[in-house]
Parts: sequence; C-alpha cells; structure tokens
Amino acid sequence: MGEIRVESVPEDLYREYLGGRGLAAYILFRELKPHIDPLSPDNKLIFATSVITGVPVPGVNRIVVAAKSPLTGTYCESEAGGFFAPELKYAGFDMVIIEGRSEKPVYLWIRDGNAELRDASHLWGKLTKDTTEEIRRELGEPLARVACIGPAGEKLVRFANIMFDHRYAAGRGGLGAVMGSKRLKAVVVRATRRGVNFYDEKKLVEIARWFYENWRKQPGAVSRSTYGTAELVTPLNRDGTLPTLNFRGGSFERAEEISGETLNKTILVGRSTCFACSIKCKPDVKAKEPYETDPAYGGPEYETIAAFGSLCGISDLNVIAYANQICNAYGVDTISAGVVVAFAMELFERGVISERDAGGLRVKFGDSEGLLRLLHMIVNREGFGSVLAEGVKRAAEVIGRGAEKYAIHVKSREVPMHEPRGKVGVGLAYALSPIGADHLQSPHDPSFERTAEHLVALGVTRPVNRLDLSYEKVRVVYYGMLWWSLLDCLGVCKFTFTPHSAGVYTPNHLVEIVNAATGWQMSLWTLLKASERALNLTRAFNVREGFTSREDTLSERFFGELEFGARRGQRIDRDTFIKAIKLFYSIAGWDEEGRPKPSKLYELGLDYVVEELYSEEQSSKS
Amino acid sequence: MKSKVVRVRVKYLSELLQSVTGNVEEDVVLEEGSTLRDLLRRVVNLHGERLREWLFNEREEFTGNILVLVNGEVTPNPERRLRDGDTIILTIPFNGG
Repeated sequence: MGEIRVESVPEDLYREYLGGRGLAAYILFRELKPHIDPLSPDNKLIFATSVITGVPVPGVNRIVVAAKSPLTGTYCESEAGGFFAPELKYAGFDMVIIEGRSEKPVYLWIRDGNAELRDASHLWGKLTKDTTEEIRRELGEPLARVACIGPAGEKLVRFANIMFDHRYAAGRGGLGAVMGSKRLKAVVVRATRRGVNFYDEKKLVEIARWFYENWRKQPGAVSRSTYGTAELVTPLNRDGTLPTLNFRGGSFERAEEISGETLNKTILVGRSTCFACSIKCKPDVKAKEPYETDPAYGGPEYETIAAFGSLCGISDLNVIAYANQICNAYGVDTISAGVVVAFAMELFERGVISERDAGGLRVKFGDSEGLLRLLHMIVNREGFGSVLAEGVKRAAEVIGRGAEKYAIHVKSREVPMHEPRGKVGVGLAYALSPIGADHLQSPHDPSFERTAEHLVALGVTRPVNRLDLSYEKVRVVYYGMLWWSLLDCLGVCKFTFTPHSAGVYTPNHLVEIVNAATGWQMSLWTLLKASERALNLTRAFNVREGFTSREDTLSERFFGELEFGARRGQRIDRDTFIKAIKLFYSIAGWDEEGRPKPSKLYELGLDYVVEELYSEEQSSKS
Repeated sequence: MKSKVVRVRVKYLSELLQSVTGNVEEDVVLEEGSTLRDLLRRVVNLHGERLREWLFNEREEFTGNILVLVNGEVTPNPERRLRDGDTIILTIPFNGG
C-alpha cells in the first residue's frame, strides 16, 4: 500500500530554515524537477511544523502545507490554524512529505511515533465532516486530528483545499487537488502523550501568562475576540476598500447587513479557538432556514463574507454562511470560489456569456439561489461549473470573447478581499507574493500609518500614508514581507503579533519564544535572515519555473478607476507601480527581471541555488 | 462672565469603540485652549478607564492602538490645540486578514 520512511533532519538545517515555509521551500526547490505537472506523481505535498510548534503559548499553532500549485504553477503554501500542528509534533514528527501516487485511495494514520497507510476506498466521495467522523470512529480515536480533502479535491478542482477537523482550512492554491491527485484522502494524527520537550519550559509558561494577562489592553485584540475577522467589514466599507461587485467598487450599500455586529446578533452561536489561544476569534454559526448550517463546519471569516457577500452583491448572512459550509464540506477555497462566482456574474451581466453557454443557468449579482447553484456545480465539476473549477484565468481562456478583462487574479490566483487601490502596499504584496495574490504576505498599509513603538522593532520610525508608493512604502512592504514570511517559517498566527491591529506580542517576543523553545541564541536579525532565505528560495523556485517580472503585476482593473464607493475614481498609476516593483527588486538584491542575484544568494548561504539558476547561463557563455 | 468654549464632534468608528462608549458619535464642549489630550481625558472620564490604556502608554504618549484623527488627519500629537467645529475620529487601525 505504499512505503513509509522516517528521516532525521540535521540541527543546522533547522537553524537556517526554522521549519514551515523555510523547510518546505528548501525541500521543494531541491527535490522537485522544474516544470513538473503539479497534479502528477512527481509533485510532493508537505505538512510542516517548526522548531517552536507545540510550545504552550498562544499564536503558535499553524500547520504549513506546501507543494507546487496546480492553480498558479508557482511554489505554494497555505497555513491552517487549529490543533493539527502541535498534535503532529507531539506524535513525534516535524514534517510529513507525501510522494508519488497511490493506486487506491488511502489515508495516513500517525500515532505516537508510528505511521501506517490505510485503505480509504470507503471514504472516497465523502464530505469532510463525514470523513473525519468515520475515520475517528473506525480507529476508535475520537480525539484524533484529521486533515482531509472533500469531493472537490478528489475531482481536482484547481482551488480545492485541505480541511483540518472540518473547520480550519489550508485554503489557497489548490493543495487539496494535489492531495487528491495522490489519492490521499486524509492525514490523521494522534499523540497520547507530549513526545517533545522544550529547552526552557518555565520561560514559555511565563510568556503565555503574560499574553493571557495583557491581551485585553489591546483594543484590536479585544475587537478580534468580540467580532472575529468580520470586524473588518464595516471599516473597510467605510474606507472604500471592501471589494464589491467583482472589484468594480470599494463600498457596498448593504454592508451593514453583513457586518461583524450583525453576524454577532444574528447567526453566531459560539466562538472557537486554536491551540493555547485565549482570543477565540473563530465563529460558530447557525444560519436560518432554508440555509440552515451545522456549527461544526465553522462560520465565515471576513474573506468569505466579502467574497460571497459584497463581491457577489449578496447581503444575506444566512446565504453566505451556507456558501461557506458548501466550501468547507466539499473542500474548496472560499476566496477563489467567491471570485470565480463574481467573475461569472459579471460575464452574464455584460452579455459575454449567456444561458446557452452555461447549460441554462444565468446568475446575476445579488442572486443568492444562483450563487449556491453555481457553487454546487463548481465543487462537483458539473457542466459550466467545471470550467469555473479551473480558476478565473483558465476559465477566461476557455470562454474567450474578452472575458480575461473580468478575471481578477495575480499569477492565476484569485485576488483576496482587500482593494489595492485604497492600500497600495497590498497591491505590491499581491504582485510580489511568491504564491500569487495573497493578503497575508506583508502587513497592510494602515499598519504603517501608526506611530506605535512596535513598528520601531522592525526599523520603521516614520508613518507612511496608505496611498504612498514611494521608496518609503517599498521599504516598509519589504520589511513587512520579511516579518510575515518569518511567521510562516515558524507556523505563527499573524494576528497575534504586532503590527497587525489585533496583535498582542511584539516581534521581540518571538525571539524569546524561539530561544526558550530551542536553547539557541537567536536574534531578530538571525530570524529575519532565515526568513529572507526562505523568501529567496520561493522566488528562485518560481524563476526556475520560468516566471519573470512580467507576472509581477496586477489585473488591468486595478490600473483603472474604482467605479463607485468611498474611493470612487481612485486608481493605481501603472508607471509608479512598475517603478516601485523595480525598486523592491533592487532592495531585495534581485536583478531587473526579479531574479535573486548570485551575490544575494551567496550572502544567504544559498550557493546551491546559484548553481541551479545560473549554471545553464554560465555554460552557455563558456 | 462666561468663559469661551469650543465644541468638537467625536466619532467612534469601530464596532468595539461604539459598544464601549455606547455612542456612534457625540459632541463634547471644552474650554477654549483645550488640547486633544484634554478631550481624550474627558472621553475616558465619560466612558471608562479601559479606554485610557488603549489610548496612552506609561509615558502618556499615544499607543497607536487606537488611531486618532483630527479633521481627517492622523495626529500623533496629544498637545494639539482644538478649535471649534473640529471633528475627532477614534478608531482601531484595522488591517487585513
């Protein structure tokens, strides 16, 4: 049924890469051949923890999943919160690497240092919650943590996700399709004891206590705890940066109906949390008939509320919660799903496609029933749904007739719910992200408008306006990217650390946590260097795949004016944007094409990357 | 003789601040010559001590955890003199994710 190997990783490698993004990028760069098909047995799927995963402090809980993306063709990683990562660590493993492809559906069962592959034929086709419950039942392990795919991952929907305990998602980039291509239905973990010791347990308890005693002093953390990520709907709407009607505008006239406060008053039935965290920002919801939902699937986060709400012109939280449940049950990314639906809605409205193209279906903005029908067709790959299941870029190519104008993506990956015309640094991060459009690559511009002390730790002493695209902005986006990339190397929640508005810890706390966990003498400098190493590796991966500066851009729509909302008329100036991108390259030590220069790679100890990227060039010159 | 006063409008732009203060916005009357710090002291007196630690650090500077805008402009200086008709916005500096 397949082979299981256990390997050890030398400590030096952990010092240089820390885990998470760092180790995943290291393995994928070294072990994947360039230009492989991401859905072939040649791809590798990695579940990675880090050197600090499992420390009993809030915020350190995320599992990093990585592979080459079937959506973008780039390096891909996606992180999920919850309890899986510490469980895997306690069960004795830092990482799981899935190679090849199984003949029959299987799942991987890991318990206290042992691992086996088991038949999953009877689970194939099942929804994520049914799969999770059935596995727990047959193993007699009600406390097992289950990462699984739903039918969408099996059917290779290009934005299929991996669901953890059917409510925490490694959502983006199609990692669920990679898992489906390997016929791996689930990875299941159980640790009956904590099979890992940290260097200074007392210090870690002290840090946790400090967090528990101090988080209420941060209004952003209190807001996040009270309203969850849905807190963002109202301020972003007011600011004109709430993506609306497929990014045509930045304010939604019925935003109040989908706000955090409305969610709390209507469908919220409780809040859940991640390992060791007192914030409890995850909503449990029960939507009303005929859209009744199961609270066990978790409720919609901000991204989901905006993607199915304002972006599609829907103002009924019951419908949004139901759409969220379809995504979590069948296993697709809610952001990409919302963007492909909004894309289709705009095509129908503009007459680019008709009922004839879509098997009798016609869905306009604001059509709740149409949205849910289309979503079902996508997750099941039925008819026109199968075209949309390829993501907006490929769908636009199939449809033709100028459809690409309405396909909002960067490197084929659908743009998340933050309007870059109102916070231009987010636009830079979308364009420069190693995984395609992503909102968690660098802190958003408003973070840098503050004059708070915690920015000083990152070397930012002057506030920078959200519309500024000068060297000041490029510099803070670069620092911000190193900082958030570090959190992805360590599997840390970005919301618990400043400069995020919900942050409680400062960057210096992270240094304390790493040193208390490992006994090393790391500094913020060493940690950020490790992050820079990881960032350059992901960049090098993409360069090797053939990506150039041409792809480091935004959809045309963002260079045009916002059609309505609080920032009506605002646009990103293309020349200024291109200049900013080039300046970023130069600051990062990359050449005009965005390739990491040999000098930068040598500085980071990445000599093997120099050999790989530049050997052909050298041999052709000689 | 009545001393001169200034009347300013305070807006609370986050759901949390609205729930803590019980207001979306309110008018506050201060003596002429009052500073932003005087206004915020009044707001803390009106709506509770929790706001104080959200607004100020131990050195009595703005924490940055609540964003303070005067007439739409982010203001780092608590000693700024207020004028009649000024609009002061208090909000959490929300960012993404």
